Amino acid sequence: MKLNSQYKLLPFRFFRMDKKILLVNEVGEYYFIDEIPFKKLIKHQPLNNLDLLRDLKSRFFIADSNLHEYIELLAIKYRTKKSFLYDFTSLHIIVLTLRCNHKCDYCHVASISSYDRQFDMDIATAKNCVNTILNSPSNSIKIEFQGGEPLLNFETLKYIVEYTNEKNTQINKNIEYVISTNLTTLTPYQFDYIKKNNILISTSLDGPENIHNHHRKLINGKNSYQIVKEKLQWLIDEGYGSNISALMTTTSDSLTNIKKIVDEYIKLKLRNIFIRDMNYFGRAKINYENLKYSIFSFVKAYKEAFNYILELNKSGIYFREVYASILLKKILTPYSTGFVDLQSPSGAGISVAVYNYNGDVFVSDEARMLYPKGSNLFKLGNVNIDDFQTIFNSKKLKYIVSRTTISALPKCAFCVFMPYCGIDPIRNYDKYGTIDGSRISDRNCYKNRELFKFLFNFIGNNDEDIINIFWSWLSNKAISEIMITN
Amino acid sequence: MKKKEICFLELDSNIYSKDAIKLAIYDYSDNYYFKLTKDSTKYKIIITPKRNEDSFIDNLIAKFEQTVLDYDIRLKIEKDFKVLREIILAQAFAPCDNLEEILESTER
Amino acid sequence: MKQFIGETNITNSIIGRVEKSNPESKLYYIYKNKCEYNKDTTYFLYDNSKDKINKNKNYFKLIGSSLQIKNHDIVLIQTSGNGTLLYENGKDDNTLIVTHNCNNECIMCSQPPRHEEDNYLSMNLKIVNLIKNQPNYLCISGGEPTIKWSDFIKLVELVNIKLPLTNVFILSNARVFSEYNKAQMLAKLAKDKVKIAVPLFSDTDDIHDYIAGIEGAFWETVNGLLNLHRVGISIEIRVIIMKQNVNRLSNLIYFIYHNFPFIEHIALMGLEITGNAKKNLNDIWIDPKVATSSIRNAILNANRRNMPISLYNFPLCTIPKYLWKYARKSISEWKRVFLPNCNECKVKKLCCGIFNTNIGVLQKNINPIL
Repeated sequence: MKLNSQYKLLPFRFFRMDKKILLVNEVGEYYFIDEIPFKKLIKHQPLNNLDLLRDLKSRFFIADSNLHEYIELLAIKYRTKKSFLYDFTSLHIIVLTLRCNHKCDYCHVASISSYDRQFDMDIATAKNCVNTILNSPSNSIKIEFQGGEPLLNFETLKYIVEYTNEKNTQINKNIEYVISTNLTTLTPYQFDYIKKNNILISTSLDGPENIHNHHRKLINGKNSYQIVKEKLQWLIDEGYGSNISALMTTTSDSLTNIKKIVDEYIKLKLRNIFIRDMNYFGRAKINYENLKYSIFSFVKAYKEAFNYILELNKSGIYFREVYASILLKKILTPYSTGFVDLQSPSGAGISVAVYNYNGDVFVSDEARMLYPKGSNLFKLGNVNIDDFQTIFNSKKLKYIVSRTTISALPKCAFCVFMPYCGIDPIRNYDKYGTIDGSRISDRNCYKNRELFKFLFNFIGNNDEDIINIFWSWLSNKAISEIMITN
Repeated sequence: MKKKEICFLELDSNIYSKDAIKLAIYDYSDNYYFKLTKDSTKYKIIITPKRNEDSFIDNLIAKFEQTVLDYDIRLKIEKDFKVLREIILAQAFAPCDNLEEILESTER
Repeated sequence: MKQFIGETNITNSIIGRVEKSNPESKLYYIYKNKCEYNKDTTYFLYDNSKDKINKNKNYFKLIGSSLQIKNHDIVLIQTSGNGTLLYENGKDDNTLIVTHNCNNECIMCSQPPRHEEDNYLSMNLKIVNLIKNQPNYLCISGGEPTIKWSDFIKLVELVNIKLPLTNVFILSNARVFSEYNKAQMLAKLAKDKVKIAVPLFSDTDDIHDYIAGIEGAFWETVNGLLNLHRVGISIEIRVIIMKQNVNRLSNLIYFIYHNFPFIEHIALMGLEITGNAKKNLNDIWIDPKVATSSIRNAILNANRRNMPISLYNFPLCTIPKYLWKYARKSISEWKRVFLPNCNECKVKKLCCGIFNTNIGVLQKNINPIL
């Protein structure tokens, strides 16, 4: 069989893992190679192993005489990976109110406990929000209701849903609604409405009772955990379980009890968990000294939880870690994810926009938290004053895009995980004063690198059961539908 | 290595490039301070831990040298395909019909 | 296609649709046109009955054939007494051959091109005009149907007009569609009704080109796939499994997933040992048992990625039980046989059987499942 052993290198990055060298190409396709052929590869020496040569070609690490064919396909795949750019702003977060019935120690949205309706979004502002949102060129829009506690301003939520659906009959976009709620004030009437309109629910559960109640405190002093548990059971019994996802905010309590937290989720019949590092904004920033923990301990706890979750899946319980699923989608599939926090260029503004209760538009949730700091960079305008063009076709957005395209950053340029990664401009601005924040010791960078290495270890070991579990999370199928039993 | 010690490292300047050394230093600058000087044949590097409670990791010198070599490799292969990367991006967002011609012209 | 013979007095070859004179009659007419009975130009087709033949009319009497010719079938009858069943009413696997010629020279081709000019256009157009009940699917094939481009397009166009409810299933190596305007033309005609099945043998050009017999075939097929997708045409990929490509099946699945994620279905196919496949058998044959682990891993990787996948032409006793759910009854009735000991097999009804041309090679592998 004729094989051209002369070849050109296509763009790739590499990293030494335990036994092999990990290669990742420009569109995120990976390959594990041994040391000796790697040495030959980088010196353009002939590769005698025919199958290795074929592997490297078909995974787009080298090209033979048909170079333009490889480039053309890489261009198509690159476009697919960056398809979030074509969609432009598709996630719109509406802050219905700053009021909340909890006063969590780490609240990064700095909720207000007043009953004063001046911190609610009024109907006029809501209408202008929807008008602005529906101007987005995206075919698929996700509207996420946040707060404070968005259920406390349910009238405006209803108005937004009705008004959006009404206007959308002309425009015909795909609209999805999500509500980020602590669930504790949910009434049957509200739940009926949520069910009728297929609104997805994202809620917070930090773990078993003592852990959850430690930092998540109801203003009226009642037991937050008990109420959340009741509400969850109610919703799941009503068959709404597959529309609920829960996340936890990691605190120093959770680090030493991470398996118990997973057990709690399983006990309450939740099917996924998002193990999330703390966002040091808002009240979390004020309480920083009491809440802080090292990123090393976070990563250690994460790995412990993850291994435990794998065991649960192996024993037949479908349970998914959300952050890992996002990273795995980037590694294993040709698609882009909708996860705005890990995008290059950053999703701030171009993939997500946040509408505060008073109509101010910010490029992200963190930007709203930081305000008034950084307002010159991150506040795009106000829906009651500015139109869509003014808000979204702005120099500010272009500046952010140009500075958060990580392939240009010295720290990221050679990093093997660059095609999967992204930076958070607001976090960097807050910590370092610049939105690119080129620090090796960056907390997010360390976390992401460790987690990518961790997942790639599993991928490299290629244990069939574990890889099946990963794919069951990605394709949302039970393992029994994937596996082939001998 | 004991705590609060200083590490001396010499690298032959015919083998290791300055750019690769700087990139490697950047990678380790989380935990170590570096002082880099050069004479006619070698680079001299002095490494001290940043925090009192840090000590040198095992085999720091071997790992550092490997990192420098790896950056040398990266810089070299970057030269090989930098142009291709730019063409891929250009073709992704502003596709041309004459891709073959463009590629041929880059080889000259 | 099924053949038959008969005794006849016709002086010209005829293509026509078979129509019963009345439901109880054993006498069939052959209509040359879609319209009604005209006693001067209509031909009678007698089945094996002992009815008296009216030799004043044009007749064709079937001889010694167990062939079932049914109402609304379309036949070609020739002055020599030879007949061909061109189209079977009520079936969804009827095939129209545009040409026997091809721009590939596959080493396993079951019908290698004869490299002589052929011209089936008028026959194919006639068949389409005669079809009485619109089938769900009609297959257009060859050789390579697209190398006679204007014949191909005319045929698709006519099917579109005369059989608006029929989906067209095209077997093609897609090389011709590496020219974007050809893909556009096909899409413009019949985008929503057309599905195209394309053979791709490997994730690398060297193996694919070797199997396809033409250097450069791989990249032309790849570009054809991309263009067909760009114009919105549904695509299936077919992989005929042989010694040269069996070890890289999983690699091919990755390659398809990353580069052609829009592919709607993948068919892994067993060899039909006739034509080039028979000639090259020693070079290409791989025992199904030996291929099992590679097939299993390919299917696992397709499952993981939600890629629909099937096994065609693998008798159930040649593959492990855990793969049976992927096997399809893929062999056309007229090519398919069962061996005597298949009568005891519990899963005979689910099995595709074997190609009549494969009996010699596969015999020893065929054992009933009890």
